[in-house]
Amino acid sequence: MRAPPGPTRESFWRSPLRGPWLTTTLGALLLPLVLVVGATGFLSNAAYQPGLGRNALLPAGGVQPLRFGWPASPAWLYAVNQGIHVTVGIVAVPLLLAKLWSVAPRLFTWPPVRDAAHAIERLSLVGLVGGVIFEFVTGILNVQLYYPWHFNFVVAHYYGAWVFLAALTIHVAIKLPVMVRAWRERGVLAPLRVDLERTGAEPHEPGSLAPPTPAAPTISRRGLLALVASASAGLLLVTVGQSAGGPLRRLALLAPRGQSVFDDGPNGFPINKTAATARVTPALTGPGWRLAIAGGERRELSRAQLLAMEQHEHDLPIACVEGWSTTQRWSGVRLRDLAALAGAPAGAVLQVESLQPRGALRRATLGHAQHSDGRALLALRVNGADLSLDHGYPARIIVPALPGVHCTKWVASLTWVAS
Amino acid sequence: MIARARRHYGASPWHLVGHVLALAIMVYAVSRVLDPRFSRGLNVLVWLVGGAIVHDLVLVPAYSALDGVARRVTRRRAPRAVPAINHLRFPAAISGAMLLVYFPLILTRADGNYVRSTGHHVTGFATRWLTITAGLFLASGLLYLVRVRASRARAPRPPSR
Repeated sequence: MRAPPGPTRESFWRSPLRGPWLTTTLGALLLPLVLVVGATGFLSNAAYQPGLGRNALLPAGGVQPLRFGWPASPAWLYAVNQGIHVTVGIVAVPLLLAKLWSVAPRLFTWPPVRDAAHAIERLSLVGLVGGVIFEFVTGILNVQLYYPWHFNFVVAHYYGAWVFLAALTIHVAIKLPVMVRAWRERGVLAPLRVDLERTGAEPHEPGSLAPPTPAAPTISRRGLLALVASASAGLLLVTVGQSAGGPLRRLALLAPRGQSVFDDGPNGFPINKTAATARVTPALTGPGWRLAIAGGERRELSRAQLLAMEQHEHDLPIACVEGWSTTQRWSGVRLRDLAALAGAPAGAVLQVESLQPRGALRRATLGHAQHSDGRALLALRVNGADLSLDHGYPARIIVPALPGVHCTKWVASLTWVAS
Repeated sequence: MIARARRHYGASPWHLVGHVLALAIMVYAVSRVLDPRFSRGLNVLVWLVGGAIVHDLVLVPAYSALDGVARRVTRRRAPRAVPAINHLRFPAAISGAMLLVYFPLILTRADGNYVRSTGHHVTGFATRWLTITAGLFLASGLLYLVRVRASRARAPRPPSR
């Protein structure tokens, strides 16, 4: 049966660039990027230590690979992991669009289903294309705090990755021979040496992506790759400064946490939740505030008593799951000194509770390696000044390599529990 | 018999086994999210399939149509030696990618959440994007003029008609 006129006919698609070599090359460039984003995503889940206390944001019982005791060293571990996850994801967008453009005729293949194998392959492609777009859209909107949907972002983004990675694995497996053939026939790099004048279509065979009736070229293949690379470079430039900091911060013109969320002064660096949003009022944090610590014994400490203890100062990053991070100079009491004061049992985990009356992240549990690190602080001051209310006054947790939302602000109690 | 099954199915048995496994993982993953605690109705499924549909049936035709218009316009006006179309494509692609990724900030779609989270209003993103876009088109246009002049200086004068 002849295809109806329109995109179902091969002759509808005329770009001379489309063909097995282009799709192979774009796919080979995109694959490592999505694998890096996937791996850092699973590591991000591990960094929350979902096995401890009520840390888990995912329902119990699911498959969660890469789970291990998240270390407190190197201090930049979480900042770099999240920076890579978010920045590489954003930078991969133009490459993803180009890859999808190169295979656009496939959606309209005629006949829509040739046989059972073709049908099952197309079904898994729904998971592949739907899954990858879902992951990119939900991740990118999440870092901009925009939630136009009615599902739980964390759970959906996590299991969306399973949909995409399952579909990707089978896709790569069945396309590997096609890729090898395309590169063997045309050369891996040879088509990049061809300028616009000499650019031509790849030979058309029935069912191939190369067009039967190509139009005259308006850009070379290397030109197209340069186009994609410049769009990626542009995104990198306006994004990476929110994670890398330093002089690049000024260039992060469109990143959610670029220069525009920085104020002057020692407390001028960004926050992830205001005290007002968390319903933490000055009344809760005033002179009546006491820190409750409990291990073998219970004690209450005022802020003055905490300040009278030995103070330690460290430059540590605070890093958000959404990819931004900033290193500041924190000072306060070491958590290991407070553990000794409370008579904490050996190898205990630390449960931290906030004054914040509600919310999933009002409590966090830290593993032994995390709270016993010499740089793990109950911070009272930052950059030589008292913490501001928005940064967690009267006291907050700062632990190297700990996810920002577990660096609990407005700490009310610390409880060491034998694990 | 395997050969007949293979003809009937259309590919090797491994093709079938691999796809059944992959689809089983996908169904399992989606079922975890379809839990009413995490998704209102089938909302997550709508987004999962809807994204691909919007991309293939809206985004691709839209930018292809824009590119077609740009091709027709530049073909009529540009000297052949220096194709103008790519001097539009480059700034458009860079600026378009930024808009596609950062539209919620550029178009201020979630100021309330932004204030609750950062303590700041969403400000300046639209201005910065427009400035970047203008700068890109300007730079690309200037580069085009330079290239046209260079090609005119190089080329022999066209025979007068």
